Amino acid sequence: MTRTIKIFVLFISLFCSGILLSDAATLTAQQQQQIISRINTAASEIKTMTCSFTQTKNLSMLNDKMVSHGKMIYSQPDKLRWEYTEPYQYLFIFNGSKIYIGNKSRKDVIDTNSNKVFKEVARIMMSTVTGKALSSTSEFTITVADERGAYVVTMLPKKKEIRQMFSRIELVFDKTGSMISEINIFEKNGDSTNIKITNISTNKAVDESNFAIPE
Amino acid sequence: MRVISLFLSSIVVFLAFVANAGNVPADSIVPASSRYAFEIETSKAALSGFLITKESTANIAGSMINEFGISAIDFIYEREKNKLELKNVVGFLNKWYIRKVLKNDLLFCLHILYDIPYTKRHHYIVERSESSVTIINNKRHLKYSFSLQNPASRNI
Repeated sequence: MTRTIKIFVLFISLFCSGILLSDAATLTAQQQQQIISRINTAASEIKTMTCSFTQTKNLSMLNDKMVSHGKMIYSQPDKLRWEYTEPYQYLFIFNGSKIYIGNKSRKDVIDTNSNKVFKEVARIMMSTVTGKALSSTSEFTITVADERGAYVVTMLPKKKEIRQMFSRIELVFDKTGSMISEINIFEKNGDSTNIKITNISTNKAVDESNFAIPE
Repeated sequence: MRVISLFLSSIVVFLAFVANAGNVPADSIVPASSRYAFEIETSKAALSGFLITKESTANIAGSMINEFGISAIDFIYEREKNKLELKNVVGFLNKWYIRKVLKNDLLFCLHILYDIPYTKRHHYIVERSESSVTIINNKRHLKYSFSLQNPASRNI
Protein backbone atom coordinates (compact mmCIF):
# COMPACT_ATOMS: atom_id res chain seq x y z
CA MET A 1 0.00 0.00 0.00
CA THR A 2 2.76 2.43 1.00
CA ARG A 3 4.61 1.61 -2.26
CA THR A 4 1.42 2.28 -4.23
CA ILE A 5 0.95 5.66 -2.57
CA LYS A 6 4.57 6.57 -3.29
CA ILE A 7 4.13 5.73 -6.96
CA PHE A 8 0.91 7.75 -7.08
CA VAL A 9 2.54 10.81 -5.49
CA LEU A 10 5.50 10.52 -7.88
CA PHE A 11 3.10 10.39 -10.85
CA ILE A 12 1.19 13.45 -9.64
CA SER A 13 4.48 15.33 -9.10
CA LEU A 14 5.67 14.55 -12.61
CA PHE A 15 2.30 15.61 -14.00
CA CYS A 16 2.38 18.92 -12.13
CA SER A 17 5.97 19.64 -13.13
CA GLY A 18 4.93 19.01 -16.72
CA ILE A 19 2.31 21.71 -16.39
CA LEU A 20 4.79 24.14 -14.84
CA LEU A 21 7.32 23.53 -17.61
CA SER A 22 4.70 23.89 -20.35
CA ASP A 23 5.07 26.38 -23.18
CA ALA A 24 2.41 28.88 -22.05
CA ALA A 25 3.45 31.93 -20.03
CA THR A 26 0.86 34.03 -18.20
CA LEU A 27 1.07 37.72 -19.07
CA THR A 28 0.00 40.58 -16.87
CA ALA A 29 -2.53 43.10 -18.17
CA GLN A 30 0.29 45.60 -18.70
CA GLN A 31 2.36 43.10 -20.66
CA GLN A 32 -0.65 42.24 -22.79
CA GLN A 33 -1.24 45.92 -23.54
CA GLN A 34 2.42 46.38 -24.52
CA ILE A 35 2.23 43.48 -26.93
CA ILE A 36 -1.03 44.79 -28.41
CA SER A 37 0.57 48.23 -28.85
CA ARG A 38 3.55 46.68 -30.59
CA ILE A 39 1.29 44.73 -32.94
CA ASN A 40 -0.88 47.80 -33.58
CA THR A 41 2.22 49.82 -34.46
CA ALA A 42 3.41 47.15 -36.89
CA ALA A 43 -0.10 46.90 -38.40
CA SER A 44 -0.42 50.66 -38.86
CA GLU A 45 2.79 50.66 -40.90
CA ILE A 46 1.38 48.19 -43.41
CA LYS A 47 0.46 50.03 -46.61
CA THR A 48 0.38 46.94 -48.82
CA MET A 49 0.67 43.25 -48.11
CA THR A 50 0.87 40.11 -50.19
CA CYS A 51 1.00 36.57 -48.89
CA SER A 52 0.12 32.96 -49.55
CA PHE A 53 -2.17 30.99 -47.31
CA THR A 54 -3.09 27.41 -46.56
CA GLN A 55 -6.58 26.93 -45.16
CA THR A 56 -7.50 23.76 -43.28
CA LYS A 57 -11.15 23.32 -42.40
CA ASN A 58 -11.68 20.78 -39.62
CA LEU A 59 -15.11 19.15 -39.81
CA SER A 60 -15.91 17.94 -36.30
CA MET A 61 -19.00 15.87 -37.11
CA LEU A 62 -17.30 14.00 -39.94
CA ASN A 63 -13.89 13.85 -38.25
CA ASP A 64 -12.46 15.01 -41.56
CA LYS A 65 -10.73 18.04 -43.01
CA MET A 66 -10.57 20.02 -46.23
CA VAL A 67 -7.38 21.80 -47.30
CA SER A 68 -7.22 24.67 -49.77
CA HIS A 69 -4.52 27.10 -50.87
CA GLY A 70 -4.53 30.62 -52.13
CA LYS A 71 -3.05 34.10 -52.09
CA MET A 72 -3.98 37.46 -50.70
CA ILE A 73 -3.23 41.03 -51.73
CA TYR A 74 -4.08 44.03 -49.55
CA SER A 75 -3.73 47.72 -50.19
CA GLN A 76 -4.48 50.36 -47.59
CA PRO A 77 -7.03 51.50 -46.62
CA ASP A 78 -9.73 49.25 -48.03
CA LYS A 79 -8.68 47.07 -50.94
CA LEU A 80 -8.48 43.31 -50.58
CA ARG A 81 -8.08 40.41 -52.97
CA TRP A 82 -8.53 36.94 -51.43
CA GLU A 83 -8.11 34.21 -54.01
CA TYR A 84 -8.36 30.45 -53.67
CA THR A 85 -6.26 28.67 -56.29
CA GLU A 86 -6.25 25.02 -55.27
CA PRO A 87 -8.13 22.68 -55.27
CA TYR A 88 -10.82 25.13 -56.37
CA GLN A 89 -10.86 28.60 -57.87
CA TYR A 90 -12.77 31.21 -55.90
CA LEU A 91 -12.16 34.93 -55.88
CA PHE A 92 -13.18 37.63 -53.40
CA ILE A 93 -12.35 41.26 -54.19
CA PHE A 94 -13.21 44.32 -52.14
CA ASN A 95 -12.21 47.63 -53.70
CA GLY A 96 -13.78 50.02 -51.21
CA SER A 97 -17.18 50.37 -52.84
CA LYS A 98 -17.90 47.03 -54.47
CA ILE A 99 -17.42 43.38 -53.58
CA TYR A 100 -16.89 40.73 -56.21
CA ILE A 101 -17.42 37.04 -55.43
CA GLY A 102 -16.86 34.57 -58.22
CA ASN A 103 -16.12 31.00 -59.11
CA LYS A 104 -16.27 29.03 -62.36
CA SER A 105 -20.02 29.01 -62.56
CA ARG A 106 -21.22 32.12 -60.77
CA LYS A 107 -20.21 35.73 -60.30
CA ASP A 108 -21.81 38.32 -58.03
CA VAL A 109 -21.04 42.00 -57.62
CA ILE A 110 -22.36 43.66 -54.48
CA ASP A 111 -22.54 47.38 -53.82
CA THR A 112 -21.32 47.80 -50.24
CA ASN A 113 -23.18 51.09 -49.85
CA SER A 114 -26.44 49.15 -50.03
CA ASN A 115 -25.21 46.00 -48.30
CA LYS A 116 -23.50 46.84 -45.04
CA VAL A 117 -23.15 43.19 -43.98
CA PHE A 118 -20.76 42.38 -46.80
CA LYS A 119 -18.82 45.55 -46.15
CA GLU A 120 -18.44 44.51 -42.54
CA VAL A 121 -17.27 41.02 -43.56
CA ALA A 122 -14.63 42.54 -45.84
CA ARG A 123 -13.50 44.94 -43.15
CA ILE A 124 -13.12 42.13 -40.61
CA MET A 125 -11.15 40.05 -43.12
CA MET A 126 -8.75 42.92 -43.82
CA SER A 127 -8.27 43.87 -40.19
CA THR A 128 -7.72 40.25 -39.17
CA VAL A 129 -5.02 39.53 -41.73
CA THR A 130 -3.17 42.82 -41.19
CA GLY A 131 -3.47 42.66 -37.40
CA LYS A 132 -5.53 45.81 -37.18
CA ALA A 133 -8.38 43.82 -35.60
CA LEU A 134 -6.70 44.26 -32.21
CA SER A 135 -8.00 47.82 -32.22
CA SER A 136 -11.59 46.58 -32.49
CA THR A 137 -12.25 46.46 -28.75
CA SER A 138 -15.88 47.44 -29.31
CA GLU A 139 -16.37 44.26 -31.33
CA PHE A 140 -14.14 41.79 -29.50
CA THR A 141 -12.87 41.05 -26.00
CA ILE A 142 -9.13 40.67 -26.56
CA THR A 143 -6.57 38.77 -24.48
CA VAL A 144 -2.97 37.90 -25.25
CA ALA A 145 -0.96 34.84 -24.29
CA ASP A 146 2.67 33.96 -24.82
CA GLU A 147 2.54 30.36 -26.00
CA ARG A 148 3.74 28.03 -28.72
CA GLY A 149 6.71 30.36 -29.25
CA ALA A 150 4.46 33.20 -30.40
CA TYR A 151 1.92 35.76 -29.20
CA VAL A 152 -1.54 34.28 -29.37
CA VAL A 153 -4.32 36.86 -29.39
CA THR A 154 -7.74 35.49 -28.53
CA MET A 155 -10.74 37.51 -29.70
CA LEU A 156 -14.16 36.79 -28.25
CA PRO A 157 -16.92 38.39 -30.36
CA LYS A 158 -19.29 40.83 -28.71
CA LYS A 159 -21.72 41.42 -31.58
CA LYS A 160 -24.63 38.99 -31.68
CA GLU A 161 -24.35 38.35 -35.45
CA ILE A 162 -20.71 37.26 -35.10
CA ARG A 163 -21.33 35.37 -31.84
CA GLN A 164 -23.96 33.27 -33.56
CA MET A 165 -21.31 31.86 -35.86
CA PHE A 166 -17.98 32.04 -34.04
CA SER A 167 -17.12 31.20 -30.46
CA ARG A 168 -13.65 32.75 -30.77
CA ILE A 169 -10.95 33.81 -33.20
CA GLU A 170 -7.22 33.36 -32.52
CA LEU A 171 -4.54 35.40 -34.21
CA VAL A 172 -0.98 34.12 -33.90
CA PHE A 173 1.81 36.69 -34.29
CA ASP A 174 5.51 36.00 -34.55
CA LYS A 175 7.45 37.62 -31.74
CA THR A 176 10.17 39.24 -33.85
CA GLY A 177 8.29 41.28 -36.46
CA SER A 178 4.81 41.22 -34.85
CA MET A 179 3.44 39.89 -38.15
CA ILE A 180 0.54 37.51 -38.31
CA SER A 181 1.45 33.90 -39.02
CA GLU A 182 -1.77 32.04 -38.32
CA ILE A 183 -5.51 32.55 -37.90
CA ASN A 184 -7.70 30.05 -36.08
CA ILE A 185 -11.47 30.41 -36.29
CA PHE A 186 -13.58 28.36 -33.91
CA GLU A 187 -17.25 27.90 -34.75
CA LYS A 188 -20.20 27.22 -32.49
CA ASN A 189 -20.79 23.78 -33.99
CA GLY A 190 -17.32 22.52 -33.03
CA ASP A 191 -15.73 23.06 -36.45
CA SER A 192 -12.57 25.10 -36.80
CA THR A 193 -10.60 26.68 -39.60
CA ASN A 194 -6.84 27.13 -39.50
CA ILE A 195 -5.24 29.57 -41.94
CA LYS A 196 -1.44 29.55 -42.14
CA ILE A 197 0.00 32.73 -43.63
CA THR A 198 3.33 32.43 -45.49
CA ASN A 199 5.51 34.35 -47.95
CA ILE A 200 4.49 37.65 -46.44
CA SER A 201 5.70 40.74 -48.27
CA THR A 202 4.77 44.22 -47.07
CA ASN A 203 4.89 47.75 -48.50
CA LYS A 204 5.91 46.70 -52.01
CA ALA A 205 4.10 48.15 -55.00
CA VAL A 206 0.98 46.21 -55.93
CA ASP A 207 -0.77 46.29 -59.27
CA GLU A 208 -4.09 48.07 -58.77
CA SER A 209 -5.65 45.91 -61.46
CA ASN A 210 -5.71 43.14 -58.86
CA PHE A 211 -8.65 44.97 -57.28
CA ALA A 212 -10.54 45.68 -60.48
CA ILE A 213 -13.95 44.05 -60.64
CA PRO A 214 -13.82 41.37 -63.38
CA GLU A 215 -16.42 41.57 -66.11
CA MET B 1 -0.66 -32.89 -22.92
CA ARG B 2 -1.71 -29.65 -21.23
CA VAL B 3 0.51 -27.63 -23.59
CA ILE B 4 -0.97 -29.39 -26.64
CA SER B 5 -4.51 -28.64 -25.39
CA LEU B 6 -3.68 -24.96 -24.97
CA PHE B 7 -2.10 -24.84 -28.41
CA LEU B 8 -5.13 -26.49 -30.03
CA SER B 9 -7.48 -24.11 -28.16
CA SER B 10 -5.58 -21.09 -29.44
CA ILE B 11 -5.79 -22.43 -33.01
CA VAL B 12 -9.55 -22.86 -32.66
CA VAL B 13 -9.92 -19.30 -31.32
CA PHE B 14 -7.78 -17.92 -34.16
CA LEU B 15 -9.83 -19.78 -36.79
CA ALA B 16 -13.07 -18.52 -35.23
CA PHE B 17 -11.74 -14.97 -35.41
CA VAL B 18 -10.78 -15.32 -39.08
CA ALA B 19 -14.17 -16.88 -39.90
CA ASN B 20 -15.98 -13.93 -38.34
CA ALA B 21 -13.81 -11.26 -39.95
CA GLY B 22 -16.20 -11.03 -42.89
CA ASN B 23 -19.08 -10.43 -40.50
CA VAL B 24 -17.56 -7.33 -38.88
CA PRO B 25 -20.35 -4.73 -38.71
CA ALA B 26 -20.17 -2.51 -41.80
CA ASP B 27 -20.09 0.66 -39.71
CA SER B 28 -16.68 -0.24 -38.35
CA ILE B 29 -15.25 -0.17 -41.89
CA VAL B 30 -13.83 3.21 -42.95
CA PRO B 31 -16.83 5.03 -44.50
CA ALA B 32 -16.74 6.22 -48.11
CA SER B 33 -16.20 9.95 -48.41
CA SER B 34 -17.48 12.20 -51.20
CA ARG B 35 -17.11 15.87 -51.99
CA TYR B 36 -19.49 17.89 -54.13
CA ALA B 37 -19.42 21.54 -55.12
CA PHE B 38 -22.90 22.84 -54.44
CA GLU B 39 -25.00 25.89 -55.11
CA ILE B 40 -28.36 26.74 -53.57
CA GLU B 41 -30.20 29.48 -55.41
CA THR B 42 -33.29 31.39 -54.46
CA SER B 43 -34.90 34.26 -56.30
CA LYS B 44 -33.01 36.72 -54.09
CA ALA B 45 -29.74 35.07 -53.10
CA ALA B 46 -27.37 32.17 -53.58
CA LEU B 47 -25.19 30.07 -51.31
CA SER B 48 -22.30 28.08 -52.70
CA GLY B 49 -19.57 25.87 -51.31
CA PHE B 50 -18.85 22.24 -50.73
CA LEU B 51 -20.85 19.29 -49.48
CA ILE B 52 -18.65 16.69 -47.81
CA THR B 53 -20.32 13.39 -46.97
CA LYS B 54 -19.36 10.20 -45.21
CA GLU B 55 -21.42 7.20 -46.13
CA SER B 56 -21.88 3.93 -44.24
CA THR B 57 -24.47 1.20 -44.48
CA ALA B 58 -26.41 2.80 -41.61
CA ASN B 59 -26.28 6.47 -42.49
CA ILE B 60 -24.92 9.33 -44.54
CA ALA B 61 -23.41 12.21 -42.61
CA GLY B 62 -22.86 15.51 -44.40
CA SER B 63 -21.38 18.95 -43.85
CA MET B 64 -22.04 21.89 -46.15
CA ILE B 65 -19.47 24.68 -45.95
CA ASN B 66 -18.77 27.75 -48.06
CA GLU B 67 -15.52 28.42 -49.89
CA PHE B 68 -14.17 30.34 -46.90
CA GLY B 69 -14.65 27.24 -44.76
CA ILE B 70 -17.60 28.65 -42.82
CA SER B 71 -20.10 25.92 -41.88
CA ALA B 72 -23.62 26.26 -43.21
CA ILE B 73 -25.38 22.96 -42.48
CA ASP B 74 -24.54 19.63 -40.82
CA PHE B 75 -26.92 16.71 -41.22
CA ILE B 76 -27.28 12.97 -40.72
CA TYR B 77 -29.49 10.75 -42.86
CA GLU B 78 -30.54 7.41 -41.38
CA ARG B 79 -31.15 4.88 -44.12
CA GLU B 80 -33.38 2.49 -42.20
CA LYS B 81 -35.74 5.22 -41.03
CA ASN B 82 -35.37 7.23 -44.28
CA LYS B 83 -35.05 10.23 -42.05
CA LEU B 84 -32.78 13.29 -42.25
CA GLU B 85 -31.90 15.31 -39.19
CA LEU B 86 -30.32 18.76 -39.34
CA LYS B 87 -27.62 18.86 -36.68
CA ASN B 88 -26.27 22.37 -37.06
CA VAL B 89 -27.57 25.23 -39.20
CA VAL B 90 -25.83 28.60 -39.56
CA GLY B 91 -27.60 31.51 -37.88
CA PHE B 92 -29.20 33.23 -40.86
CA LEU B 93 -30.73 29.91 -42.04
CA ASN B 94 -31.71 28.76 -38.57
CA LYS B 95 -35.40 29.73 -38.71
CA TRP B 96 -38.02 27.03 -38.25
CA TYR B 97 -39.66 27.63 -41.66
CA ILE B 98 -36.28 27.52 -43.46
CA ARG B 99 -35.16 24.40 -41.58
CA LYS B 100 -38.37 22.62 -42.54
CA VAL B 101 -37.85 23.29 -46.25
CA LEU B 102 -34.11 22.51 -46.09
CA LYS B 103 -34.74 19.22 -44.33
CA ASN B 104 -37.22 18.03 -46.94
CA ASP B 105 -35.18 19.31 -49.86
CA LEU B 106 -31.86 17.87 -48.66
CA LEU B 107 -33.59 14.53 -48.03
CA PHE B 108 -34.76 14.48 -51.64
CA CYS B 109 -31.34 15.60 -52.88
CA LEU B 110 -29.67 12.70 -51.07
CA HIS B 111 -32.08 10.28 -52.67
CA ILE B 112 -30.99 11.57 -56.07
CA LEU B 113 -27.27 11.77 -55.32
CA TYR B 114 -27.10 8.32 -53.73
CA ASP B 115 -29.66 6.51 -55.94
CA ILE B 116 -31.92 5.84 -52.97
CA PRO B 117 -35.44 4.83 -54.03
CA TYR B 118 -38.01 7.52 -53.33
CA THR B 119 -41.67 8.31 -53.69
CA LYS B 120 -42.15 10.69 -56.61
CA ARG B 121 -42.68 14.29 -55.49
CA HIS B 122 -44.34 16.39 -58.12
CA HIS B 123 -42.91 19.71 -57.02
CA TYR B 124 -39.32 18.51 -57.61
CA ILE B 125 -37.66 18.54 -61.02
CA VAL B 126 -34.35 16.75 -61.56
CA GLU B 127 -32.00 17.82 -64.34
CA ARG B 128 -28.80 15.94 -65.08
CA SER B 129 -25.79 16.90 -67.14
CA GLU B 130 -22.51 15.10 -67.67
CA SER B 131 -20.90 16.59 -64.59
CA SER B 132 -23.71 17.79 -62.37
CA VAL B 133 -27.22 17.27 -61.16
CA THR B 134 -29.76 20.00 -60.37
CA ILE B 135 -32.81 19.56 -58.18
CA ILE B 136 -35.47 22.25 -58.45
CA ASN B 137 -38.12 22.76 -55.80
CA ASN B 138 -40.82 24.34 -57.97
CA LYS B 139 -43.07 25.06 -55.02
CA ARG B 140 -40.48 27.13 -53.11
CA HIS B 141 -38.49 28.35 -56.14
CA LEU B 142 -35.26 26.84 -54.89
CA LYS B 143 -32.55 25.29 -57.00
CA TYR B 144 -29.90 22.88 -55.66
CA SER B 145 -26.95 22.04 -57.90
CA PHE B 146 -24.30 19.44 -57.13
CA SER B 147 -21.12 18.64 -58.99
CA LEU B 148 -18.97 15.72 -57.85
CA GLN B 149 -15.39 16.75 -57.09
CA ASN B 150 -13.81 13.34 -56.44
CA PRO B 151 -15.21 11.05 -59.16
CA ALA B 152 -13.16 8.03 -58.02
CA SER B 153 -15.53 7.61 -55.08
CA ARG B 154 -18.90 7.54 -56.78
CA ASN B 155 -20.79 8.72 -59.85
CA ILE B 156 -23.55 11.27 -60.26
